[in-house]
Amino acid sequence: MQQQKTWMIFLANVLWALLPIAVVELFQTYSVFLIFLLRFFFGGAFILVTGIILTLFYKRNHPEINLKILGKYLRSQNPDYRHLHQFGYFAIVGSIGFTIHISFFFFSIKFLGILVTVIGFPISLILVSIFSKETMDMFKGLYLGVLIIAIILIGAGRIQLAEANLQDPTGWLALLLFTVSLTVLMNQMAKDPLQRWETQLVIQTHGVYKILRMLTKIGFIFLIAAAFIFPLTGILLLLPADSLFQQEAVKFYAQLGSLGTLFLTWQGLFLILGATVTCYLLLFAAEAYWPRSALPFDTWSSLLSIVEPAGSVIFGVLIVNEQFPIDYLFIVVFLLSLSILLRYVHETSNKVIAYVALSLVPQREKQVFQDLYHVKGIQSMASVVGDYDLILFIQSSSIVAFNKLVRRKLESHPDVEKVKVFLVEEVLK
Amino acid sequence: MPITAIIFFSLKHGASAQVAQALKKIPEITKISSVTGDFDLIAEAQVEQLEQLHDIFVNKIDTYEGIINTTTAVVLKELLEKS
Repeated sequence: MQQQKTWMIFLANVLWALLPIAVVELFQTYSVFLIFLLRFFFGGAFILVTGIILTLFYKRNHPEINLKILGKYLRSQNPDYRHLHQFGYFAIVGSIGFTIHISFFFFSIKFLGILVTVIGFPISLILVSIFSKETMDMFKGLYLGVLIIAIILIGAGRIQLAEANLQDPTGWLALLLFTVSLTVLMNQMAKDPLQRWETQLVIQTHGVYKILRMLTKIGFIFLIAAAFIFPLTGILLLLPADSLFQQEAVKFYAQLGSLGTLFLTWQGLFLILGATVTCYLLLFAAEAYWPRSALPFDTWSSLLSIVEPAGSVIFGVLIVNEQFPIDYLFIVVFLLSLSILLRYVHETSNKVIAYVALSLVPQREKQVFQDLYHVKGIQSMASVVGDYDLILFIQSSSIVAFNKLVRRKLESHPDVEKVKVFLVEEVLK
Repeated sequence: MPITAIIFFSLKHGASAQVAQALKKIPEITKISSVTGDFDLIAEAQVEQLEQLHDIFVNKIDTYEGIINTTTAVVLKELLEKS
């Protein structure tokens, strides 16, 4: 079951890897901002409409699911984002995470080519890894080292066969903005935990609510991102006339009327349906039914995200014919594949999975729940009847982190009378 | 709405593989983990009614050799399920 879902993540990344191949031809005619608008306006609309249709469809079997409930989610506050209104959170993720990230990703492809641009992915993974405060073991060190060597080889291979546009600082600035905004997106995208009333709904609807919630969230984020392209290009219009950013912004407004024509090209359709809608549907379906005992979805998703740059490097050389030494290509693909393996070993060798049963002071369950709700590592919490009062399912990055959690958050809690730890040795079913 | 039960198993020495194999055949048991601590196995079961859970114990679990005792925690409410 998990294997099937892992393949879904893999397939989504392969489709994303094909994205530069589809857009690179369009850049010769259209502004990068117009291609961005095409992807996110139509992509967002398709995803949102899919969410609405599925809501109406599932309503027949699960009456608790309806458009009102999605409206309640949209009106709620994000507890992981200083209780900011969900639309405020969407606006931050949409503008920085998508408008800046993807438009400058396109910019970078246009001016530096696919191979140099994909360097941004491993750099972001390195930055995320460094800032994650995870334990640094031998495998994580090797993982980071392998990514760094792959980045150097891609750069060196391209510079050997350098083309004139590598000299232009505009492309490098775009690559920098793309990399930084991608790092921000990786850190912020998951900061939207299920709220208490939503947890009940997920259980009642066997995970269906999770998919609908994700479709609604990404649909609105995409539409907000599409809207943000107007202020962004508006600012770029203020730049000097000889600036490439300004020229692209001018071109964007001149070509706005061609959006319909662009939509009907095979590249436009692939960009919207193949490399956007399908990818997110695959990821959402995998995440909604992700088994609890395996590595968390986020970890697998991050682990396999290296497939995207690896695929883009291969497709960039083989399909777009970007100049790159073939021996370097083999080494880079090998190193990127090796990085997946090293990261997997790092994640699994240290990971601690455990059931923890708690006996509580009578009438204090609500308080304990509120105190533990945001504790990182607690994956699920169930109120039970029997010898215990609460049963937690915990995943920690290491035994040290796990012991800290048990000592500081559970054993020292004034309303927790007894803590019983059951470390999972092996998941048998 | 399905009822979830978490069942803790204490087993005789060396009986873990045999009991786990038997438990795997029960369709209502959705997850089995071998654990350290006061118990040897933890299983999660999903049933539509408590009577079904009773039947599983009477007709299946209680008949398995190798089980010393069990403790069952019936989930009243799932308070958190992180996405």
